This record gives sequence, C-alpha cells and structure tokens, in this order.
Amino acid sequence: MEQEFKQSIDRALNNANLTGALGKFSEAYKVNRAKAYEGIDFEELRSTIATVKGYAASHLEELARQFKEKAEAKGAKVFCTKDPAQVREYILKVAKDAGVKSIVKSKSMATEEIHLNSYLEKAGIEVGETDLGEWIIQLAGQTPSHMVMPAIHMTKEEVSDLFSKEIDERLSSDIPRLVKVARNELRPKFLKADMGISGGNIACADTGSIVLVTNEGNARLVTSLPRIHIALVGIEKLVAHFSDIAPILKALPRSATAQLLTSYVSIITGPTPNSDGSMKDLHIILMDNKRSEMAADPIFKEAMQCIRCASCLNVCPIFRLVGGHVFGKVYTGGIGTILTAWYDELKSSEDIQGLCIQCGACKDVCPAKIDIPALIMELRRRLVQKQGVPMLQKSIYAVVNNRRLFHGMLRAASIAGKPFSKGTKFIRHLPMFLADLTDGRSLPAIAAKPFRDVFKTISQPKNLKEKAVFYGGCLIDFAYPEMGEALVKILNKAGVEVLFPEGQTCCGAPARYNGAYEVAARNAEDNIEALLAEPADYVVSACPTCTVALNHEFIATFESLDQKKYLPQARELAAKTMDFSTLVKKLVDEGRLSFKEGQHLGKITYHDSCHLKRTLHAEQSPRQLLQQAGYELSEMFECDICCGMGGSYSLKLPEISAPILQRKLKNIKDTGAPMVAMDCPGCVMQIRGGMDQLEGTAVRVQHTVELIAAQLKG
Amino acid sequence: MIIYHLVLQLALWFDKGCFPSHNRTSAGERMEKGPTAWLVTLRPEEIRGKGEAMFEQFKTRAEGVSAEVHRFTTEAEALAFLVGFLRTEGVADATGQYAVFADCPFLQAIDRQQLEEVPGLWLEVTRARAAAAKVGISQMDWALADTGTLVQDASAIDKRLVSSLPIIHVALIATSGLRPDMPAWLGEARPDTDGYLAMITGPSRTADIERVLTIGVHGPERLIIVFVDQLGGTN
Repeated sequence: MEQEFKQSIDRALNNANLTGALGKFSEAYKVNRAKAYEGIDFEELRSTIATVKGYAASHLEELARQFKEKAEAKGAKVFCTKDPAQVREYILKVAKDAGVKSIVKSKSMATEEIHLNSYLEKAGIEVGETDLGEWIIQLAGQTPSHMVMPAIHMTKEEVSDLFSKEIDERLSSDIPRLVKVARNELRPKFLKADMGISGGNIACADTGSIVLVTNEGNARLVTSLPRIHIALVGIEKLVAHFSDIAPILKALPRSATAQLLTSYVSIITGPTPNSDGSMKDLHIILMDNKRSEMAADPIFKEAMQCIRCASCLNVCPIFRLVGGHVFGKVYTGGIGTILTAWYDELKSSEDIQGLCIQCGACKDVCPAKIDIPALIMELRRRLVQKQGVPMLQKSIYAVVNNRRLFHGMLRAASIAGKPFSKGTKFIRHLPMFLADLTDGRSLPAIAAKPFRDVFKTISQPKNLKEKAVFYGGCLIDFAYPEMGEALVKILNKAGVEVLFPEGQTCCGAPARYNGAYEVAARNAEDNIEALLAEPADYVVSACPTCTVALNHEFIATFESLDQKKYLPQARELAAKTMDFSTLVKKLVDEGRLSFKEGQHLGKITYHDSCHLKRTLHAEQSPRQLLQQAGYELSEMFECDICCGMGGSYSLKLPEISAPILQRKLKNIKDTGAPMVAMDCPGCVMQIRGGMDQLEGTAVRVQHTVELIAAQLKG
Repeated sequence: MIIYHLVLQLALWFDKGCFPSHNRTSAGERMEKGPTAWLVTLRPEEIRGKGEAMFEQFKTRAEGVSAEVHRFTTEAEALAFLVGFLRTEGVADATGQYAVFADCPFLQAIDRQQLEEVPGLWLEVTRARAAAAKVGISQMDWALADTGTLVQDASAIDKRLVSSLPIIHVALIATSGLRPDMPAWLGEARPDTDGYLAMITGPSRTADIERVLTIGVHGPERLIIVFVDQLGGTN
C-alpha cells in the first residue's frame, strides 16, 4: 500500500467531524432504510432490477440504437460516444455555437467522471453546480465524497465559512439560513443561464425518455429555464422498457435516502416549449467510457446493474470511518472501487480495493443484487495476476502452502511467543514495527499443544453410528484447541464419531482474500484430499470462514482459475460441509442431544460473524441453541456489523480495524450482559483481545461451542 | 391520455367488470418479451372500491413528507378555500407577493369573477411573474396513494414555472385521479405525447448539510394539495 494512501487514511481517521458525521448517518440510515422498505419484498424487487438491468447490459448496442431513434423522432439530438474527450468537445461546441455564457448543472456523476466543469471553465464559460452539496464542494474546490451526499464530510461551520466568503457577509452556521442563502444566490443563476446540464438516472429505450430523480427541485429548473438542455447519461442507465422505471424508482429513493420517493421525478421525452415560446434545444449524450467493455466481461457485467443509490457506502463499516475521499476516486465506496477500476484503470483501484474487509454488508443491501465483495475479490485476483504478490506476502504463502513448514512454524511461534505472553493466554505487546498489531487488542498466545496433538489423547466412545470429519482451521488448531475439544465432546454425545485428518491445512482464505488464487487452489486440493480420504456423514467446522471456504470457495477458486480436476470432489465436499451451530441444532432437533433442565444462565449477547450471517445465513441456529441452553438473549446494537478482524485485514490495516473493534466492544458492553457469544474463532480472537485491553470489568468472550458443550445432558 | 380517461370514466359508470385489463401480461408473454411490463394495473371497479382507502393512504403519505392536504366536494368549495388562502398568505400586486395560476380545467369550470378580485393574482403566467410570485397554482393529473405523489403532464412550461419558482405551490387534483401506486400509473402514462411528466412528492428538500433535513431549497417550501371530488375535464 502506498505511503501516501496510508497517510490519507490516518488523516481521515483523525478527522472527528468526518467520522462523527458518517457514523451518525450510517446508524440512522440502517433504521430508516428498513422502515422505508416495510411491506416490500426486497428480494423480489432486487431480482426484478437485476433482471431488467442485466438484460440491458447484454443488449447495450441495440438499446442505445433504439433510444437514439426514439428520442430523435421526438426532436432530441442524441450523441453516442465511447470517448469522454468527445463528450467534452461536443458540449463545448453546442455551447459555443449557441453563444452560451453561463451554464447551470444539476447533479451528475457522469460529468464528475469526465471532469467537465474545469474543461468548460477553461473555455471561458461560467459553470454553476446547483445541487446544494455539489455547490458546496464546488466552492470548496473539492470532489464529492459520497455519490448521493457529496458534501457529507463537511460541517455546517465549514459550509458557513464558504458561503460567507461567497456572498461577502458573515453568516452563522444555522442550517436553514445557509440553505436560504443557497436559494437566493443560485436563483439568479438559474434565470440567466443559457444552458442546463443534467445527468440521467434512467434512460428508456422504447420511448427515448430520460428520468431525473431529485429532492431539491434544481433539476426541474435546470431542465426548464435555460433554452438548451444537455443530459449526459452513462449507457448503464439504459433500460429496455418505460415500465422498467417502476422497480428502479421503488428501490432507488428507498436505498439512497430512505425515502419512499424523492420530492421530484421528471420524465423527459423529447423537447418541450421554453417560456419564450421557442422549442427547447435538447441534447442527450449516451456515454460509454469503458462501460461496454465492463458489460462484455462475464464477471464484471454484474456491476452494470448498479442504480447508483450508494447504499453500499452507507452500510460499509470502513466507509463510515474514512469517507469517500479515501475510499474511492470520483465514484466512492464498494461499487466506486469497481467503477474506478473500469472507468479509470485497474491500477487506480490498487489501494482502495484493499480497504474492503469482505464483511458482505453491502451485498446484503444492494438493490441491484450486485455481489460487490466478490467483484472486489476479483479485482484483487486480477491485480495479483498482473502485478504479482508483494514479496512479504509471497513468503507467507510459500509457508502456508507447505503444511509441514506452516505447522512447524506455528509450533515454533508458541515457544517464541512465550516472552510476550508472560505465561498468560495473551500477547499484549509486540516490539517495534509489530506494535500496531497489539494496539487496542491483545493477540492470543499460540497454544502449547495444538489441537492436532490434543486430539490424539481424546478417547471417544466406541461404535458410534455416524462419523463427522472435523476441519479445525488454524485458529482452533493452534490458538484455541479447547474449542475443538468441546466440539468432539458434543458430537460424541449425539452418537457421532469425530475424525481429524492430519493432512488438513490452511483453508486458503488468507490467500484468496488477497487475490492469490493459485495459492488458495493448492490449499483447496490438499484439504480435499485430506477431508474426503475417509467416508463420513458430515464435514464440520467451528469457523465460519473455513466453512465458507469448504462449501463455497474451493469451487469458486477452481472455477475462476478454470481448473476442473478437483471440481467434482470440491462439490462433494461442499455438499457435506456444515457449520457447527447448524449441525448441532439439527442434532438437538432430532432429539439426539438434550440440554440440562431448568438452567437459568443469565444474560448473554450474540455477535454475528460476517460469514456465518451473510454467506451461510445461519444466524438463527446459535441464538436458538443458546436460549435452549438457558441463556437469556439480549441483542446488542449493530449485532451483525463486522468486528474488524477480517483475517489478515487486521494485520494489514490495524488503524482501521482498531476503531471498528472499539465500536463493537462498546455495543457489547452497552447490553449489560456479562458474556458475549459468537461462532467464529477469528471474532473471538479480535473481541477477546480487545476486551483484554479495555478498562473496567471485561465481558467474557466465548465461542458458542464451549457454552453449549457445558450445558448438554449426559 | 384523454381517450384513456374517457374509457376509465365509462368503465367507472357502468362497472361491468369486463373492462379489459390490457396491462396485465401473462407469465408466458413476459418470458417472450424479455423483462418487460412489470405493471399490475388495478381494474376501475377496484379503484372505485378502494377510493376512500387510497385517499386516506395518500393523505398520510403526503403529510408524512410535509405536504398539506385538503379535500372538497365541489369546485366552488375549493375555489372559496383558494381565495381565502391567497388572502391569508398576503398575495398582492407587488414583486414577491404575486400568485400565478397555470391554465387548467378547474379555471374553466369556476366563476372567475372571484379570482379576478384577488389583487396580484395572474392567470397569464410569464417567467418573470412566476419568479416574482409567492404562490403558484396548478392542476395535477394523478395522485399516487402509496407514496403521496402528484403526477402531471407538465409539457406546458407554465405548469412547471408555477410549481417550481414560487415559495408555495397549491396543487389542485380531481379525486378520481387517485391511483394506488406508480406501476398502476405507468400503464396510463403516455410519454409519446406528454414530453415532460412531472412527479411531485412533498415540498423541495435537502439534507446536504450535516444530514439535517431542510425544507425549501430551489423549489417550493410549502406544497398545498387540494382534492376536489367533483372536478371534471382533462388537464
């Protein structure tokens, strides 16, 4: 990661105004968005949008042609181009030919993308942004930090300073007064402008209509008052049918600003008369700028479904810490990272893609059903393919890929870690450049005896009727062997014998999440060989990230690399693999396990691990098990927001991981429960380590497996 | 649009229950045409049955976004309200205090004498007058119940001037223009003839400074919606 980029992260993290504003907004957004979607089948709606936009993405040329034909038949002039330079030249030519002196603009990300304002200003034309947020950042000489709320990073005091300078009058920071100032200042600009430039939220091919969605009313003025109107529309806004407006307008305002509908929606089909009786000179520019290349890519085609609601920014635990000036270029956040890689170039996304912690929160809310984290992973993979893996990582993977060496080193670390753990289960401080890693979070000491050695000493009952292969994963194996012991105890009680194949190795997630798919594929092969060697009824893991690797990602990795050899076995393994809580819930439901009766174990709160909730969708099983055991569940605020661990993320970006963890710790403590449960040893490592360094009474941090093991009969 | 209204009116009168629901596409048709026609249009008799419920829903939704909603049975009652409103708001023959009224069926149906007695009220809308007006009045064509949205064929520039430049917009709407939601309306929309279709949901708003909701940026800061049950004609 570039030093300069790291510095920009630090600056953002230390900007209390920014983190405060974004934090507050993200909290309110979640509640308001849910309310706006009340009574709506979100899954059905987003499937519809994905179908509509997916269809358009695979018929771009045809739809663009049809749009042009229809809009021109209505009297609009339609210009289609691949090249942003031609867009700028076209607009300047129209302006010059018509003697345009001043232009008013309503919000358009496409014009930001091609840096239109500075181009026109250099040619001596006055360009005024009229969206309040855009006007603010224009006055400040900045770029938008959010696709929907461009000036969200600024305080009212900063805005009042800017406005005071603009109108040469000392203004207070009273927001309604500032808004009035904007109205009064911009009104004359609207009335005198010769040209209005807008974007377009939707372009309907079958009618030649463009749809504009706004709240302030500026787009109505921009498209009504000046005698010329130019709409710059990215070709990803095309839809086949006029009726496709309905699902998009149902989702866009709800997802963008938690509104049922924005104050204004304008549907423009051809020119209409101006107030002086002349006809509007209406130009619509359909801009490609690498969008058709994106649509032709079998994987990134999905990103063409985006309706630019920015909900992926609003729910992102990283975005709310660093904002769009760090997380993105013109387009920001999760989708912004993907669009930057395409509209700009792959290399431009190199730093920002690393900000994604892969928690999946954005995927859950995307109204266009775009798997944003998966696309960011694909960017990583392509970056690694193009530029190779950084040296340090390369040496790590060399180790990870050699099971004996990897395990040997972990054993060695147990001894090497001793001076730092000082006999406790934690490493609280590390020297020198490693100090960041224990800043705000202790690391677990490497267990003296890994689970693979402990397992050999466990004597299981004979003649059990079923068999389960246990996939430990590195954390349970080397840091928390007691979790593995608990799992064996539980399964034995249900009549299931546990097998622990020695050949199992790293699940490959660290390599995969860093784009090193080849490494991940070799991990997958080793594990498939080991886990399928003996026949068993289940493969079970108590780590959701490992479970996801086993039942989703081995297949995905082979498919990405077009390696077919192990695919059938990968599928066989996937079909057998279950996460711990789901398997135990099933065994309880089948009457094969029962809890001690009449237990009142007091309050507990539950932290949702990202992979368990958003990939495995298994968030109910552990909750039900804990309640059946006798715990009283007390939900925390933002229970399903990432704890900041993200595997190696917390090592690469500890400065971002730390504040996310602090927030999680606070939410846990605020419930007043003396204990927090979770299903992921990675989350245990992060949260337990955080609690260890927190002042006051620490909350006990436990994996569900140990809590359940203690409460079963027999 | 006119023809569609006529057909709709007829169907409402006769209530035969055999009005062709031409906007409904079967699953088979949908497959054939690709991803099209996500429209489910209510049949006219359903609309009538649901009229009151739709009005109530509209009112709740519109008031939820800071619009003010009134309802009158006759045009005369609505006119009396309007004249009183203009007086209360201090509409006068002075810059910044004008009222501008875009041509519409309501104006054709009423006794204009009463309006002519209001000083500063202009029935001939110009851009300069609209820019200097406090109140703009226009008639809308449809009202979408589930979002509290008004919809208008605003191809005539006057209609946009009076609803976007003044501080207050008074929107007249026939109660029969109520539709359950946008998909229902899209089936009636005629973009081929109506070049500028405008939807309005509450007054102009922003939250661009510190996410604080502020009403009235570039458009009206008040939206007064006046339903008239017996309002004929086509806008």
